[in-house]
Amino acid sequence: MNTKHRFRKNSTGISLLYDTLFFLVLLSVSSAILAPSLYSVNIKQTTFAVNHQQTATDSLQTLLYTREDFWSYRIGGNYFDYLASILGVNVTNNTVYAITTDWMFAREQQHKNIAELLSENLLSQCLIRISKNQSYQINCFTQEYTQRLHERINQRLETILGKGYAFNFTAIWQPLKGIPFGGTLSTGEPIPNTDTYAAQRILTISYLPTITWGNQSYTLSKTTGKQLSDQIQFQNNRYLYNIDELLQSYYANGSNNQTDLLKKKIQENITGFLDEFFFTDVTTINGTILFPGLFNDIVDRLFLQLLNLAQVSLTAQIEETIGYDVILNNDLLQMASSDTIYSYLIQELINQMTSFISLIQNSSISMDNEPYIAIKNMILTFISSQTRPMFQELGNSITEYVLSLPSLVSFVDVLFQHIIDLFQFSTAYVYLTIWRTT
Amino acid sequence: MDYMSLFKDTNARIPFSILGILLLLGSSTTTVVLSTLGNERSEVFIEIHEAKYENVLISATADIENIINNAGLNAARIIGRKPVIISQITGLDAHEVNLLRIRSSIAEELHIYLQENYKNNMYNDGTYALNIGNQNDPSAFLVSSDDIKIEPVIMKIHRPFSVFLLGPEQKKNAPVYWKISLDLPVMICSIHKYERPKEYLEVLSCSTLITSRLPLLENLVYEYNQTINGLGPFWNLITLISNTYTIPRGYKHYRSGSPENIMKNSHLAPIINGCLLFEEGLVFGSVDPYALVHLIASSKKALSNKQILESDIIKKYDVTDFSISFDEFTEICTNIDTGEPVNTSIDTCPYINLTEIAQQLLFNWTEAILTFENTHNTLYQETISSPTTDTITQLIEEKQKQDHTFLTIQKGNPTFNSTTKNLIQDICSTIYSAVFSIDVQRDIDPTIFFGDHSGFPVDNGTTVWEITSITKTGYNTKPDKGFITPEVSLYSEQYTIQWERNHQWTTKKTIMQQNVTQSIWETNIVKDIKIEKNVSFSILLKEYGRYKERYNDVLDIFYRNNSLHDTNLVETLDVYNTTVFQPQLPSLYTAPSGEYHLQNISGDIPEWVESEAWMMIINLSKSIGSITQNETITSSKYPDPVVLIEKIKDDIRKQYTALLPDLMNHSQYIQNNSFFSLGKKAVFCIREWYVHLVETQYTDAFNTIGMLIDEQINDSLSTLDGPTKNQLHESLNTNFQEAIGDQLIFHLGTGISLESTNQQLTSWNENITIAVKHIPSYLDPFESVEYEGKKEYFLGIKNICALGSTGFPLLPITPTTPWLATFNLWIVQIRGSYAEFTVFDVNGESHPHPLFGYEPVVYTRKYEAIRTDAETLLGWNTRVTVSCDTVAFSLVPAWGFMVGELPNELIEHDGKMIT
Repeated sequence: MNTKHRFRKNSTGISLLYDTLFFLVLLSVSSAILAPSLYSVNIKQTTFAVNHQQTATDSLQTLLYTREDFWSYRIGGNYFDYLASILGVNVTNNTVYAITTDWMFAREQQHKNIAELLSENLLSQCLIRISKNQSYQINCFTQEYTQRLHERINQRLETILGKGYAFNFTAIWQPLKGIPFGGTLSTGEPIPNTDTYAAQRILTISYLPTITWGNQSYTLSKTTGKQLSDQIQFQNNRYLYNIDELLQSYYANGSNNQTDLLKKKIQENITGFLDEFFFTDVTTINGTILFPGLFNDIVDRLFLQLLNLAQVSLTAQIEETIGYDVILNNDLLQMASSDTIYSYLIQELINQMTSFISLIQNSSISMDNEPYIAIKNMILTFISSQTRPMFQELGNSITEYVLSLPSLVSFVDVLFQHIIDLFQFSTAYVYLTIWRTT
Repeated sequence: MDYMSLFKDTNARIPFSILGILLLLGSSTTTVVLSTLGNERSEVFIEIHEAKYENVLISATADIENIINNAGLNAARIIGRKPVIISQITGLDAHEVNLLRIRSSIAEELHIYLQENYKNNMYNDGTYALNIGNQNDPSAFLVSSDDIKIEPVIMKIHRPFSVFLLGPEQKKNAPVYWKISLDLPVMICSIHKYERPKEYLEVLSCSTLITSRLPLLENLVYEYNQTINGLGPFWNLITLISNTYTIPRGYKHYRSGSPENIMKNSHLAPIINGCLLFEEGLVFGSVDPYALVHLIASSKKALSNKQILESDIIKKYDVTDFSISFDEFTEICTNIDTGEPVNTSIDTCPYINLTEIAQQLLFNWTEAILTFENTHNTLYQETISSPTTDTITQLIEEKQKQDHTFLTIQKGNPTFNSTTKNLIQDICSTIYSAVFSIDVQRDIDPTIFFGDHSGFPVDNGTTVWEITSITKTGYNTKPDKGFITPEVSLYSEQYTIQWERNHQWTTKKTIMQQNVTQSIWETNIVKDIKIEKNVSFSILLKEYGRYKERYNDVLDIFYRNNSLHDTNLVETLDVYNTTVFQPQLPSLYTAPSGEYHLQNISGDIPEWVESEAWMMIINLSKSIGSITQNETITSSKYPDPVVLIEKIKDDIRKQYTALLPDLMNHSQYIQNNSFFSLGKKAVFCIREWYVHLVETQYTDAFNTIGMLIDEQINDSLSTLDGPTKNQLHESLNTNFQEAIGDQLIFHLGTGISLESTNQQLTSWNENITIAVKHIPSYLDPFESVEYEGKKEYFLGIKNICALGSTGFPLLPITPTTPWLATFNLWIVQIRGSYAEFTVFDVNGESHPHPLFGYEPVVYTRKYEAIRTDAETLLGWNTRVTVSCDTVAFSLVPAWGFMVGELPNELIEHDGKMIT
């Protein structure tokens, strides 16, 4: 009885209802906070990322070191196709033409892997980078090689990666850091701004330039470059002589208000020396050549070969390039007997280079006399001009470094340490970037 | 107040709102903790995955293997252009020196590139860096050539075509690649920011194929050099071809006197070059096209004496026409030399027939007429009576001393062969004879009448019988035709003969005389009489017409054959009767039964028998002379003269055997095993004798020719260091036509299959196409070639006509028939070399080239001292040389132009010195 009264008198019932409702609201909020942490997106994403990364690494490894048992291309194949099409030959469907040109100009390799083919292709391209997105392969003899390798790598990667991935493959060989000359092979799609997974490998390029000067040969590499500075009296160079005097004066008189001017003079002399060292010849104050321009020598050799090819007899051309099979076809014999094949190729090379020069300089050059020398000089001038900002930057860096030293050191040693750091003749970089396709 | 009741409430009641707040705080804390833990776990996950350094190890191994391959290719480029063939290094042979050079070169280059990219953490994958060397002193690490192992990769070469004995084996195992193995110590260190600095020491086991097929090129060039020296396939080929070249030329010379110079160096030069190219094609699967063009031009020039431009050859010939017909060196060149049209057919072999042997049995040529040409180009003849080999040779030598040229020899003044004539007469005489005897037949039971001897009983003997009377009781003549056979009585007489004798009989009688009784014998002589009746005396025919095993085989013998005008020994019976029977008859009256007086009686030979026999022999000689050797038996098919003669002999024997029925013509002489007449038998027997004599003669002749040729070859080879007689015969007995056909076909370039021999690894098959180039492209013994500033002959040919300008007459049969065939022999010595011999792997251009991308693998042989960069002499590269000595033959029938060279061309030597 009493209980019944107390129930009726109890006024907390409304409060309890509010309390319960409030509790339920807080419970919901707590669940909302806790739920994301129970479902770990981070780990899943990481797992995917690692797997994609491993795929990129493994794909690059597979691509590079899988043997191509049979591989071939034609020397100057593109140009012969062009020539044949002018003559009315259907180059795509004419089996005889395909067999004949393959027979005469094909280069075949057995059991080489893509890495070897790639490194050897990069070495043979003689590619000049005009801008970030534009480059030009000087060596027209190996353009088909580059093209076929490009196709093969593309084909292989599509097979390896399947349809789930898009890719970008890029191989770069730049024998001298900062100098836009070397070899590049890039295939695939442009790299997007989404999540990508990249793998990188170093390819050793079997190339170290050797310059013979006097009775001595100098192999230019990171390990042997020091010998060059030890054995050649570079301090007699007019730029280095100036720098030496400036530094001696600097250390003798201490820093003063003229530091900026000093830096500028040193930097200008360094740039001048680098220009001589790489492009023209390193000379003494009297004008005596101390050492030939490094890049000049490398490009010179290339053009010397072209020059020889254009000038030597047909017999020697065949002997040195395609063996003796050439005389077996009458039509080709007629071409070969009048030196048509190579004279055409050489002429085509000149035309290409002329258009290239026009492209980069908006001017034409006379090809009447010594066209090779003219082209070579123009190319060197272009590369030199492209390289100058890099040299200036390098000059600044060296100047800052030298002037920061407490006492006078051998500037030649410091300079050559920086120059040697530019050498990467035997190193190419290969990048594979992959991403998921939608 | 109600609000305060919460604290005062003793019911332990907690409001739900408080619980909810606590729940909210707890969930927030839990979320923060779990998120932090998740991030940490992700980073650990990445580290776990990136901590594997195997990736960098694997990629570095592959990269270093590529460096090794490139270094190996560079070494192969150097070794290929400058191989050491003769070593100067004590204790190392040339092969070992070359391997040492490769190892050193790889070690040196590998060292450089490892220093470039495998130091100072240069080679890394972002997590781990791989440095070459060991932990103690990485900078001091050097790749040692001793650590580099080279082993050849052997593959099975399968050439596209091969000719047994004339080229190398079609299949063989040979080294194709080199496999390089090297263990390199490396140090791997972590460079990742999350990774603790760690270092791992590992050993990279690098093993790679040098993708240059230089070992194969080296092996093939070595094989080619072996092939063209000594008694290799080239020797077999040049021996075969030089023989198929000399035999038809010799025969043409025999027929027409031209060509005067049978073995010409101007022809040998393109033949030798052709053979060299043929071997080149077989060994390498391709030939130097310039050499082929030059060969064609030189061949045309040699054959036509016209200058042919190589460019004309190139323009004129299609690919399929790059071949040289061997006919050009046999028929065409011979016709050109004799001034006949090029397409005139020519016997490529001396067709031997039996005319000489058949006729020499009939006739003697008592004179030999030799034709010479004097120094004023006037022809004149010299005649030798009763010529012999010695007298003919002596005269030719005398004339040659006077610089007169011997041209031809002819037979003169034929007379019948008296020996044969006598033999025919003997045969006739033998056949025209019969053997008779006298047959006595007595009365085997004669009647005897004893005289009366009564009283005289004791027979005390008789005297001999004595004829007391002969009474001819009858006679018989020869049997009828068809009944005369041996042991038949051709004539008989019958007699009755009476005989008498004294016959003594005695008797004993006793008489008294002087009182003495005495016995005495009394004699009574009486005459006994014996009468023999039908005692026959016959002429018995023992045999007739015997010639060897043939006798008693004539129809109607002893009866004249009027149609054939043959007496058939009729007269011999009379002769025997009159000369033997009748005279001997009295002596035979008392003779006991038996045969007496066996005697051969020669008959009269009808005149026609001998004349018919001669005519028959002459006709037979013509028939036999028509037997000539099968046209398929040619010198080109059987260049070995001994085998050629043997084949000709076998062929002629077969033809002769087949012709025998016609030669014997039995039906003309015999019917039912009986000759029509004795004369016919005589003719037949003479025919038989002649046919068998010719058969024996030619068999002996061929055997003797073969033996003499063999002796001459043996003598000539004894002057050479090279082939033995057996080797020469073995070489020549190769079936030439089956071997290379009618043409030397040059395949300019065909791939050679290479099959893996390694069963354990996954096998691969591939092809190699080789281009060949040599300097000079054509080995010319007539023009020196300037090479490296020095003029030099690269081929020397010396051909010596070993048996003089008249050759060697074979088989002196009789003093008046000097020989059956003439044989000559040339010793050919070849010495040469290529200034440079280079082979290119044209579908394995694996040497990187900065301009063309790649260049072919090249292997060069030339004379050159090979030195290291420090000028240390390693040895010498040497030229590919060709050297062999062989012999060629010519065999012609007798008479005509004898086979040989002009006296001033007996030794022809051009080009390079041959000692």
